[in-house]
Formats: sequence, structure tokens, C-alpha cells
Amino acid sequence: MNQPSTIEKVKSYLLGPGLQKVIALSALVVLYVFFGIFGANFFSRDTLVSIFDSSYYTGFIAIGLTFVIITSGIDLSVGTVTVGSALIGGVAYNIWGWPIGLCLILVVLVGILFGFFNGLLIGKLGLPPFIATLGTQFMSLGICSVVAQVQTMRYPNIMDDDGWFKTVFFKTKTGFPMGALWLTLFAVLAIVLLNHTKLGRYTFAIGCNEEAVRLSGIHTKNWKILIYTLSGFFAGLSGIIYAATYSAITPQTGNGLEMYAIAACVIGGTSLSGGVGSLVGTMIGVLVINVLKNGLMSMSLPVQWQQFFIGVVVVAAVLLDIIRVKNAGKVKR
Amino acid sequence: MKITKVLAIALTAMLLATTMFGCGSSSQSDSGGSAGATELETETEAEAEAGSETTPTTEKKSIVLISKSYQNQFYQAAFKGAMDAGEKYGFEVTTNGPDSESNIPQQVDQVSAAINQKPTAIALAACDPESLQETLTKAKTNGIPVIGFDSGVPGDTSGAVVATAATDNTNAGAFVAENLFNDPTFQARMMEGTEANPAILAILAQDSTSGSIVFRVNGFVDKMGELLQTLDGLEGAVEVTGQTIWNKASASPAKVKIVITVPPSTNQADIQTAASTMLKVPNTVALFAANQGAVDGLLGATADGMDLDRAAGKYKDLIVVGFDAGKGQKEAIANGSFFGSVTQDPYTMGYEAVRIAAEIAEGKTPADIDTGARWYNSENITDSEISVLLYD
Repeated sequence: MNQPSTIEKVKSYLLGPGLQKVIALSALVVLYVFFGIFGANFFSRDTLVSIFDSSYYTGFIAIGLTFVIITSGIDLSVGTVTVGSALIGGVAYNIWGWPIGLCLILVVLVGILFGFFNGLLIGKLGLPPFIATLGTQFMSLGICSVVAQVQTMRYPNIMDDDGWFKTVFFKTKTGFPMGALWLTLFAVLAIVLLNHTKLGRYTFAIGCNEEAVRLSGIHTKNWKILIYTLSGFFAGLSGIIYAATYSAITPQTGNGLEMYAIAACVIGGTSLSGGVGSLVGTMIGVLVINVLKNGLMSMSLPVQWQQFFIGVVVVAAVLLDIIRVKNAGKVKR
Repeated sequence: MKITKVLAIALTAMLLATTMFGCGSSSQSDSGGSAGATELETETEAEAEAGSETTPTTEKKSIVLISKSYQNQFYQAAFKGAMDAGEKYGFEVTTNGPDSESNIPQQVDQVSAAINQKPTAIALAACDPESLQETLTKAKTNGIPVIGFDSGVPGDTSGAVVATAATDNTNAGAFVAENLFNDPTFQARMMEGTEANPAILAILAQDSTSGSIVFRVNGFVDKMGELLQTLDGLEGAVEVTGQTIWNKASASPAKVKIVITVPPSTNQADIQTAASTMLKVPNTVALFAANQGAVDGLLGATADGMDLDRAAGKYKDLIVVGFDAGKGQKEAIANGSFFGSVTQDPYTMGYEAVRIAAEIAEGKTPADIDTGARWYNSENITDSEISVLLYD
């Protein structure tokens, strides 16, 4: 029997499981070129920096979300948990007088807490993920604002003594994108987690057929708790980056950030029906979303168009996903 | 699996490399930092040939105005002024603003994107000046002058802001206080306050971060505190509470309390809820709604102002003063439900912002413009010099 040649292997991969990634990559390039032609001064270093700057916190949320979506769940609370945890960190810094390092650890802990809470609701108590995380979204929105007494919390500026956290997590004074470094680091860690550990394997398995996994003796409840806690962990990390990017955290905001992350995951090929997903795809999706955001701004279109087009892109991505799933089910000649 | 991953990583690495090692601190779009992929290089040339209208070397002048929120009618009036000035001075005017005045990150992103477009100038009303400092430093490095309008960018340390066309909000706030204080009923009711039952003067401020609101409330609180203490028995008995940045304890136990409420966000639902809560506080003598958003929220909480009717309304004894204009407020002033308001001149703010940009483009050094504030009530609302300032 002839071994399929490398070209045939690549072809069958690109047209099969890798298709969504190829589409996402092509979309990225097409969009980038499109905005370069029609936008104002899009092909510049500054614009690239802007695209990356605004993508870090979405990127972190999207990493955690990828795991959750692969299990055919969803986590709507990540946006408000990002801002809420950053808010509580801000309270610790401004009102309780904690040193900034401890505050950042607190931010991640708050994220983990909400993630664990989601895990308990969904894993242990069996609530549908949509409802449970919607509830957590409102709970985090409210409780974090209460802790902050509904006042805007500020993080130190890059000029202040404690501004080192910005230099470390976002950008150095000379403009080196530290945020990109951290995102890449955690993305690589997450890729290893997803593809080479039990957690990753079970994530896919639960997404494909949770009942079968449970019947084969695996404690799916516990693994789900872990996966949602992981999502919360990444939301907490995202909170640090959010604080490093924007400094002023307004209470009662964050609602809607998760949509960009979910869009990124879907664009990158993570199926909402579960069992399929890739972190590389998610990262491409994050870039697509941010190129879209920045590109639309460079065309001087009001921010409302941004919302419209991101919606269009999400619908297109989900449609492609459905077509891909349908085709995969067809008998091939 | 491997090939796509390699492609993806390669593309990301190229984009990253362009960011990190791109052509120095170029502020010219034609030298554009795309030192990476060759396909990007040919596209840059094509773009420059296509005559992009923002390369500084061409004649076309452009200005981007970014307000605190895009939907607010106040800013729509400012944009109209800017568009008219744009026609007169030959500027291409683009406008933008976040979807709500609390959405600070969105405005930061918009200012950053505006800088990337390399306009001749940027006009900005900052939601939160501190959050914008780094972005403004980028504007300065890129040689793009920033003109403050309305709130402007108070406390700017980046040096990017060259001039401001705005109301002197501290004076405007003090102006409201003076006019309110002139009402003998107000004075009498304030003097009735006791330690056990202090008289309350409530302030509804939509935020505690943007320059215009902060200075306005400052001006009001300082002036009113000063004036109230001249009244019999109130010296040292005026306390300010509600928001950390404005709090001031009184020397002796307070007989009058100035209470400031800031709703959790600037969307109307939240402002209205805050207003409802404030109205229920007993012994509230007067209420100052510090901008149009706050006024609209208050009107919403009082059945479109009907509860404030001087003859039969639920809150007929409440003395209300407002700020800015807008259809609801104008009606309330005209029928006497509002004691009076102070209006700004948003049209002139927008107009002057573009005119200042024209001055800068000619190489002149611009000066700050105080676009002024006027007191209006049911008596003078129909005067032509007042009505022209009142937008819908």
C-alpha cells in the first residue's frame, strides 16, 4: 500500500480539520489588506501596536473560554469577572492599602473563585452552563461594585513607583509589548495543557459525548469544575492585563467583553456544539477581532459599526462551522 | 497539524517582529513600519499611490473630534459647530465617541486609533484624563496636537494638549450656586435646618472622573458652602458628603448637608434610579442636576417633570436647578418646574476647536477659549441671545 505523500497529507489536513484555521488565517490577511487600502494609515507600526495592545485581555479570556466551549459549555461571566476582579484588586490597592503585587494575586484569586463557583453550579449541581454563567455574570457585576462602593478604582500609572506592574504586564517604557509575551507564554502553556495532558483529553471527550465519558468511570463532575475554574483563572489573568492596559476600572462594566472572546473562539474553529477546538485557532480569531475593531476605527466609522460587523463575522463563522460539521458527516467517495 | 501551526506562528511572528523592530519612531505614514512581509511592503506603496488623504505631506487638513459619548445631544450640537467650521477652514471633520461616558477603555482605544490615522489635529473631551495619559504621550510623540473641548483634558501631564475651548466649569458651577442662593425661599428653608434635622441640598453628578463635572461640582460646592455660611447660624455648620473627592466635614455639627450622588454608570436607567432615591430623602430643600444627563434622569424619575409642578406636583416645594439644555429641560424651565439652569455653548465649543486647529496649522500659537455660560429661567428663556444657545 502506498503511503500518502506529504502533499496529500497536508491537503487532507487543510481541507479537513485544519480548514477552519485556514479560513480564519485567510480572513485575517484579507481584512488586514482591506483596511490597509480603505483605512487611514492602517499599515503602520502604530496601528499594529494598537491592534496588539487591545487584544491581550481578550486573548486571555479566550484561552480559558476555549476549554469551556470545547466541553460544549459556555461561560458568559468572563467579561464581568475580568473587570470585577480588577475592580477588587483596585479596592485592595487604594482602600485597603495592600502592596500592588499582593493586589494582583488577589485579582487572579477572585477570578479563580468565580470560576470555581461556576464549576460548582454546572459540574456539581448540573445547571445548564448558559443560565449558571449568566447568573454569575450579574452576581459578579453586583458584588464587585458593592465591594468598591460603586466608585471607580485606579491603578498606578506607568510613572508612579508602583507602575512597574504596567511595565511588566503591558508595555515597557520603550514600547516593548510585554503583554504579547505573557499572552504567548500562557497560550503555549494552554496548548500543552489541551493537547498533551489528561485535562485536555477529557475536555475533548466531555465535549464529544459526556455521558459516555461518565459511564466509562471518569468523574466528569470534577473535571468540569476544574475546567470552569481554569476559565475563571484566565479571566483573573485577563483582569491584571485589563488593569495594566486601562488603569481606571469603572464598576458595573465588563458586560459584553465575553462576546468578543466567544467570537474569537468561534472564528478560530472552536465549535459551540463541543468536541472540536484549537487554541491556535482562537489566537487567530482574537487577531481577526482586533484587526476588525481597529480597522473600522481607522475608517472613521462610529463604534456602533464595529459592533454590527463583529456580529456579522460571528454569524459567518458559526455558519461555516455548521457547514463543516455537516460535511464531516457525509460519506466520502 | 504541523504546517498550519508553522504558518500561523510564522505570520504572528512576522507581525510581532514588525511591531518590535519596525522602522524606529516613524511618524510618517509613507515610511510605515511594515518592515516585515514583502506582501505588506507592496501594499504600502499601493496605498500611498492611491492617495491616502492623511499623509501629512498633502494639503488636506483633517481633524478627529472625540466626545465623551456619541449619542448625547450636547455633543451632536458641538459636532455641528465643528462641521460648519470645517467647511469654513478647509478641514475634513470626523467625529467619534464611546457608546457611554462610563466606557473609558473604549475612548482610550478610539483616541489611540485616531492618532494612528495621523490627522492634522485631534479634539478631545476626556471621560477620564488619567487613563488617557499614555495615549496622549503617544500623540505628542507623533506630533499631533490635541485640542480640549467641553471637559477638555484637565490635569494633562503629557504636553499634548495645546489649547482648550470650553466653559470654565468652576465658574459655571459657582454661577449656579450664586443664582440658587439668591432665591429668598431657598435661604429661608436652609436656615430652618437643625443639627437633629439638617437641611439637605442634593447634587446629582453623572460621574466623578470627567473634568467638566468635577470642576462644575467643585465650583458649586465651594461657592455654595461659602454663601451658606454667611447665613444666620450656619457658620461652620455646612457639611459636604457623598463622594470621597468632594467630602468636607463641618467645623461644628452640621445643620446643612450638601449630599452628592453619583450613579453607578452614566446610562439613563442608572441615573434615573439614583434620582428616585435622592428624591425620597426627607428634608431635601433643593437639588442641582449637574448636566443634561442628570437632568434627563431627574425628569424621568419625576414623571417627565410633572411631579415638580409648582401647583400640584408631588415635589412642588423642591427647588431644582439644572445645567445645559435639551428639550425636557427647556420645557421644565419654561413652565417653572425648574428654578433655573445654566447653559453652555456646545456649538461654539465644536466650532472653536476646529478654528484653533486651523490656527495651529498656520503655525500660530493658540490660546484657550472660554466659551461662556448663561443663567436662564422662565423669564428670559425666550430672549434671542439665550434661546440661540439652547439646543434640543
